[in-house]
Amino acid sequence: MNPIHTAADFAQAQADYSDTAAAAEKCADTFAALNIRMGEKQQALSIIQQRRIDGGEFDSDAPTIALLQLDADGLQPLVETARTQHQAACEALQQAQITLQQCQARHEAAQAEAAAQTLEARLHELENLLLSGIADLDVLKKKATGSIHIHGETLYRFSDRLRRFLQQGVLPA
Amino acid sequence: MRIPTGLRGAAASAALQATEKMLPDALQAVRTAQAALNMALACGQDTGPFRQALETAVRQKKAIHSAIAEKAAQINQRRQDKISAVAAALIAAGNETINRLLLQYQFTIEGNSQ
Repeated sequence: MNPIHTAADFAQAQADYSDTAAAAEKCADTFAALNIRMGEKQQALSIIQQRRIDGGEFDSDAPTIALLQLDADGLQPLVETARTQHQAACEALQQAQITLQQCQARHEAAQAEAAAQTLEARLHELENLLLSGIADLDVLKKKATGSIHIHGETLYRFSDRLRRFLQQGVLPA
Repeated sequence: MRIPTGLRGAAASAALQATEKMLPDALQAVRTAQAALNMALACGQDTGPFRQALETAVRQKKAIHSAIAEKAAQINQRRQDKISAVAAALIAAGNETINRLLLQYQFTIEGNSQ
């Protein structure tokens, strides 16, 4: 995975998520506004109904009720459409969020892989330096002691931490 | 007819929507002008003014179409620019991490026998 590509995908996913969230918010606002209007009509109907039950009947009730009912009937399909659009927008937002999380995870993995490769290369350079140093040490110790062969720990003793890692795979703390 | 230009963000989207809303009227104006020209032709009237009216209506419709295309392209371009900027920032942050690592494990090979 190339971090340049995953960064582009991640940025694209962020923009898509942002656009989808804005669209979802707009749908939610429309749905809420229509619900409020429907609620007002239903409440007005309920108030008239309650008043009539309590004995307060007016001649104007019949046309008012008819108008309110017409309004409610007219609003109903709008509310249903807005509900469907709101639901679709919420699902789209959820999908966009999943995609965003996947892209983020892929990008973080690609970044980690690139950093690991860099560090591994640097550690190999350090290892080469260490081995060169040991070779130099060998020459110097032979000269110092007059020996022909110097082996193992006499030449260089690795730290316990490094030996534990090399022998047992225990990571240095 | 005034078609706003050079807007950014939500204002650009609103301007695009406003321009799109002009289109039905412009289409209707073309149809009306065409019908008037046809009528003039059928009645043997001087068609000059009607042709002129039709040309004007067609020009206005084309201008709206062009404005819509231009605004949509601008919005898309700004979106792409924003995405590119975010991607560049992500790449820069990654490079920064790698540079920090290299700095952390920096060493000199001076005195190395090989």
